[in-house]
Amino acid sequence: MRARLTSLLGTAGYAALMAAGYAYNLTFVQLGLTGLGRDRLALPEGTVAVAMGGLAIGTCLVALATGWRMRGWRMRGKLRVAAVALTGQTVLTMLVGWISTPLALGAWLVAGAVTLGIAVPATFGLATDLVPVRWRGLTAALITAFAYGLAIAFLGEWEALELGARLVPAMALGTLGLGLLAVAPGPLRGIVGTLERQADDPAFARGRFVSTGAQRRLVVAAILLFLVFFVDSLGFVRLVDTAYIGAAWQSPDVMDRGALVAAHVGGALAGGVLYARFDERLLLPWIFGIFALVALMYVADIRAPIGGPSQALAMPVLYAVGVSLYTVLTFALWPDLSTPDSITRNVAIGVALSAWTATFLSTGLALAWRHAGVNLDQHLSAVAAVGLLVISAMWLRRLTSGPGPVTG
Amino acid sequence: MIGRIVLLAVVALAVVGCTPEGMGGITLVTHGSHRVTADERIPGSVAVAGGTLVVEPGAGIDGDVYVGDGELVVAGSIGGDVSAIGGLVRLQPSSHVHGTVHVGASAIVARAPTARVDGGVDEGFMLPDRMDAASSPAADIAWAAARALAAVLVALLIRRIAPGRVARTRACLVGMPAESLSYGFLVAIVGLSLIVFMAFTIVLIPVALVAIAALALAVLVGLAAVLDELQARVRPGLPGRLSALGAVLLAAVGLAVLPSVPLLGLPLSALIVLAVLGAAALAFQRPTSGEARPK
Repeated sequence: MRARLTSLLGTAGYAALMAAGYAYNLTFVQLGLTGLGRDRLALPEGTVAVAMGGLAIGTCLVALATGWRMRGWRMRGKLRVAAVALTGQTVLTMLVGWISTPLALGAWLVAGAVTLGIAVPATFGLATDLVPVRWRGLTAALITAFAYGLAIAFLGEWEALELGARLVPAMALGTLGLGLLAVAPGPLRGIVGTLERQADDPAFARGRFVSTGAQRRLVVAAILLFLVFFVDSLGFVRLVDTAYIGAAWQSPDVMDRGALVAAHVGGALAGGVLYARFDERLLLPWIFGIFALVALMYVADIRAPIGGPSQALAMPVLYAVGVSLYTVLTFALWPDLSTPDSITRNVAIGVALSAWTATFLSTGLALAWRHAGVNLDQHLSAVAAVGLLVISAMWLRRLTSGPGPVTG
Repeated sequence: MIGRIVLLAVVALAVVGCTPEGMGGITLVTHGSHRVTADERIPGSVAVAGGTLVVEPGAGIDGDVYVGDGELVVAGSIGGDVSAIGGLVRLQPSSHVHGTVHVGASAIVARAPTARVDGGVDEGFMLPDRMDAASSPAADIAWAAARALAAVLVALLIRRIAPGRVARTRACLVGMPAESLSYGFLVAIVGLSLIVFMAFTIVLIPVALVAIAALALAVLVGLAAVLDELQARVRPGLPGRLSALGAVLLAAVGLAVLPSVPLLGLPLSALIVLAVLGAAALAFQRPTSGEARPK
């Protein structure tokens, strides 16, 4: 009973850590820092994009190196590294108010790439220690729901200083907690020991897909999730500067934001439940289909000859469902393709290479298209085309491969 | 085989929908104030769901205009009908409507004496005479019971036509209720968005109608599965055909009463509809490696 309670606490702690970390990444890193460079330092949009691209590549490289280096590490080691990375990130977040020159921003981004890159494998890698395999779908759903709930429920502007001021106390508390677990003084030693031994239990250590061609599946999943992130970012980057954002994600109306939170929570729970019973192959066509449909709906709205940007919530709500579905996959799939020996490497490949690189490339492509004079509706048409192309390829692959063996 | 026939029907309907009228598309006004200025023409139809649309003298809309809410001010020409079920329509002295002006119960039409309406004004458009008659509580209950019974009878018919599919749907519903609900959520939210999107393109309205029919059919297949399950559960207490009758009655009463239960009725009904829809959709999926399949 005591061991089960400890295990449950470990899963809850992992979910809280990942939800807070993802919400930080969504708000402060992706939107706050971009706004800081563009609005406070008055840097040209292209320069900010290059700086953010540098952050993405730096994070990716550091994560890959850290992930390889940490292969086979026990939980205490990962906790120590995560605590150090989180301390560094908290200090960096506190220092954001002192950034007043492009050089200072550049230095901040270099340091940020190091701390974020170390934090990715160290924190994601805790999944094989703390989350039992059968709970991974639901845990991923809860992480997704809380992360997006926190990000959207934040009623202020998505501005680095304001975000930083609100985030630093929570980060300091989290750092303290992680530090205590990493050092494990007296009373905590037993709990940490129990949690650490879970990595030897197959119910935690052996991911669902480890025995069924895990290496090939890892590569295919990395490619498909790369495409998911690519399609998502390619569309969203151009929508960020339009009136659509103000009418939905940054709407002053609490009901609008509530609808988006509900869509994220609903999408996350649906994704978690379905992933736990089936696998990523059921969800991926839905994700690409949703992104393609949303892009087409925006195109139709833009091409309407009269009337401004629609304030209808249909598109953002549908978009939120799609984003939640793939976020669930991001949190559940890599641990399910891993063992404690391989998780940090697999997470680095999955999260850093697929997600960060795809985001960087799509952002660069979106900016290049904008400079080339591609209109928003043409841009979104291309996004829909890429989404539909991937779905067609997946269905064609499924049709030609025939029904596989039925497993239960 | 059935899948191929459905696909063929969808393609055929999409081709039939590619008429010159359909290619014009529809323009939707949802908010704000907009003007169609002199010598400007909108080729297709227009729907005003909010805000204000002004058609100035010399300007025109070639198709029909639908007003659900908001305000339409016409000083130019309308090529088709003006159908208003709500909102305000002002026909200015210089206006010319080539078709008919249909006026619904909640709509207000202010027509200048010199405004031309070739097809005349139809004051009885969608006037709910029958709805007024049916607005008494007894009539409401009778109407709900009749709908519920009709749905159950259709479900029984489906069970006779496709017993295998209904059995698979029941297995999904009973064996994977949370998964069915989750899948139903996805099917409903994406399916409804797709249907609305297709309807606004005009050209795809036939496909949207097929999609609506498919969703309704899936819900009815799910209802047939619920009937199966109910029958299996009441059987121990009842002999022979009484169990089937009991299941039908239970389902009909449930369908008729549940949505009208205060506070929890509608959310519960929605959850049940999503679950049966998801179960039917999951049963339709072709099983592949790694995906669980109902026994």
